[in-house]
Amino acid sequence: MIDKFKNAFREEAEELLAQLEGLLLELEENPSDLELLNATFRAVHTIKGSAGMFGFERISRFVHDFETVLDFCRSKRLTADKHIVDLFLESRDIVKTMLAEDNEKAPFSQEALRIIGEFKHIVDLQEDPAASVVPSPAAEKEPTEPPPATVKAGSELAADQSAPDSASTRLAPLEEQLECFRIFLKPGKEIFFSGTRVLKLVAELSELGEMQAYPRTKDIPSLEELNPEHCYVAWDIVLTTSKGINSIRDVFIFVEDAIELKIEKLDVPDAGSSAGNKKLGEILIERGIVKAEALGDALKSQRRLGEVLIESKLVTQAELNAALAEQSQLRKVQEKTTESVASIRVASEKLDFLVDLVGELVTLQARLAQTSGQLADSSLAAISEQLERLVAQLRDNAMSIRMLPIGSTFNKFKRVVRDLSSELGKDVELLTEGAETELDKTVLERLNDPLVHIIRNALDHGLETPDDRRAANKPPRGVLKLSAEHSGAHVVISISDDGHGMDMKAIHAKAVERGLIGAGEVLSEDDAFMLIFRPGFSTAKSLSSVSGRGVGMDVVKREIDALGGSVHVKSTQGAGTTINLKIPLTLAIIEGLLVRISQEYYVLPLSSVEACIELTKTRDENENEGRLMQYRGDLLPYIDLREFFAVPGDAPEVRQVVVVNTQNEKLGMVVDNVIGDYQTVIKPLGRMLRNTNGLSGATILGDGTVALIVDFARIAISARNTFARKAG
Amino acid sequence: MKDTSRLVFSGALTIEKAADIAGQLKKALAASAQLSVDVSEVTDLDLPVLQVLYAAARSAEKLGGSLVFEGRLQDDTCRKLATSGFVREKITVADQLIKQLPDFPVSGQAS
Repeated sequence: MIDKFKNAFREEAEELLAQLEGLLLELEENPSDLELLNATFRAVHTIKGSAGMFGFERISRFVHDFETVLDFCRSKRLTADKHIVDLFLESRDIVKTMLAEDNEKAPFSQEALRIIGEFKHIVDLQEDPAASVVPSPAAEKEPTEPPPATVKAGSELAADQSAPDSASTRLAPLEEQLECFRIFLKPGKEIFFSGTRVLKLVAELSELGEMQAYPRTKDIPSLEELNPEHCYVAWDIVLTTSKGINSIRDVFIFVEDAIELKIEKLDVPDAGSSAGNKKLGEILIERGIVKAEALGDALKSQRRLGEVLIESKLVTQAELNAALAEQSQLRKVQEKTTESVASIRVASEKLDFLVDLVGELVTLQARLAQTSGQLADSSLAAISEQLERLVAQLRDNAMSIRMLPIGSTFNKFKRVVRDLSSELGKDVELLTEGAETELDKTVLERLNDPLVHIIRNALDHGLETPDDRRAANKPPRGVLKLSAEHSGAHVVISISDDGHGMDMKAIHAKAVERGLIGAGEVLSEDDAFMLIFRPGFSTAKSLSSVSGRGVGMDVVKREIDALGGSVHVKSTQGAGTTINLKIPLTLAIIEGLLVRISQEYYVLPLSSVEACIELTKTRDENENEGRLMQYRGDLLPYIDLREFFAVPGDAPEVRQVVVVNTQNEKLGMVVDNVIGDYQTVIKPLGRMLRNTNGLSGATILGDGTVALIVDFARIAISARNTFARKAG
Repeated sequence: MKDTSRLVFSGALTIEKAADIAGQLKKALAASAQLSVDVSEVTDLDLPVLQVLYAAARSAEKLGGSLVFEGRLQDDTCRKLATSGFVREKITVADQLIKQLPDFPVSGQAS
């Protein structure tokens, strides 16, 4: 059970850390944005509190000073300058590592100790400006006891830990359960004598959530009777927060003897319940402002209750406003509760299983359609058609559940761009567009590496240094733009930069030097740009740690091909480069070309199929030597899938060559028959076939037969090696 | 008693200044029940001084006059008043304050 909570914390913390990274990068741009600082503080505070609660004491201890320094920034005692944001980002990375390590007994790393030291130094300077000696990481001892927590966090933690050990109580901060509180705050008359700044306390309270405060000012006398050092104001406050009642009390912990504080948790009516609209009269009675009899009289007038009560001086405008605010807050919380009920967290394995089951259903439905066709039974055919529509809806629905916005992936690159451009001495702004575009989560995961390669390449080779840009009459700050948009069953992701573009001559010369093309060979612009995706190709004059080793872009192409996608490059020298990736929305369903070899069925991903041509036995024998055939005025290498997969039996007289485009090379695949287009749900291969070269999955046809899905990219690599061996 | 007494306050109006401001307002009220307070240069308006202004407005009202604000309200001051519920929406021109401050005496309206 504990592990379950720990896993819940880990998942939550991962999300918070991703969010934190985005916030910190924004903070770097807008260091005095209070809302950003508050949001950042909340994220760090939640990580710290929850980490302590679920036994991740090391993280909790590490984050302590991070939180304190952030608090200084919030209270404008410190500016979140680049150095501070760098420290925050490094701290965030260390927390991420600690989370992955999950080893409470491990000592802090040298890196962590250095950061603790730097934070401590900042804290000491704020508390005692005379302290100015930076402790060396080596001299800094790892804290053995948790440092004294801030009043807020410490007491919240203590309160929660001492609370009954129920799952709901412990999970409350993670689940963000909203609660609505009615608070009456009356500072004592002499509260100012202690130096307390009452408005600051109210402001601190407002940071806990959504708050509406209504000051009661009736007791302020006229000037003759006023003691300027006495407090006469009280507040009616409605606060909606997920932080719990203890964090409210903590705000007033140092002045609890000097104030009158009443906190009542309001019952939020169940979602959908008609009690959601709590009556104004009920609230006024609960608040002790109006008596039930007086309310009854007011209601008889058939006019708006508020107007009547103010007219008859039973309530003041401020009291009425406070009650109306409470009514509105309750309604909002109810709505939010309804929203949170509408959105639930589900383990991705469960979704995968759902998609698997839908796949089975699609297969079964195809079988039913086939059987009803064979039986020529009209009633059965009608049922089958109806089921087909339902299954299609269910399939689309199940697929849509696995769709995630690409924004979360884009956000990760902000950090990559920031760190790398700084390392390379470049000034680059990352712009994103279409972050809401959704893609299957598996596709998104597999897109990460290719995108990193392209971005690194653009930063290293595409974009210039500020000096070079000025010399080229460009603004010193370069722009790297990531955008995504839907295009049918695909998503097009563009990565464009306004750097110096590609040098066609250099590409051509390098390709000749590497023997990729002949010296006199003339390539179209498109084909020339695609050379950068060839293995071992690099025009970088020197190797750098970033790119330029000639690895990377070929990996990009291979990954995109494996995803069933395609790559297109546009570049204008001096103006920049755009790489477009066209990716299928999902990997779970494939638009394929169904083919047959002997009695076995195969599916070739349709997106890469260019043409089908006939191959007679005679022609094959004639051309067999190099396995090359004439295709559109060019030589096309082809391979016999019957041989490749060792399918037994004799080949028919006339066969088909399916021309596919893989890794920007055309390749023919010889099959016995082409059956036609086929949309299919991909199923993973079993253990026996998982490592079979040239296969990426399987599917079940309508009649129950298994069809294997061909992996072009792998076959192409094998074929290239074979041709090279023969040529050698 | 007919002319308006105009007072200009500046800087952070915290508790240290409350008694002094109360004294100035008393003196001004002795001269005229119509008070005008310029808050353009006020960088912080804390509760003790806010209470003094309420009290002065109540005294002015008793004398048949009123207290009005003038000038531009600084953003930080407005933000502080908004968080503690004294104003409901962003104000830039200070004369709107009297309409927003809860139960603040407005000319011609007895509270």
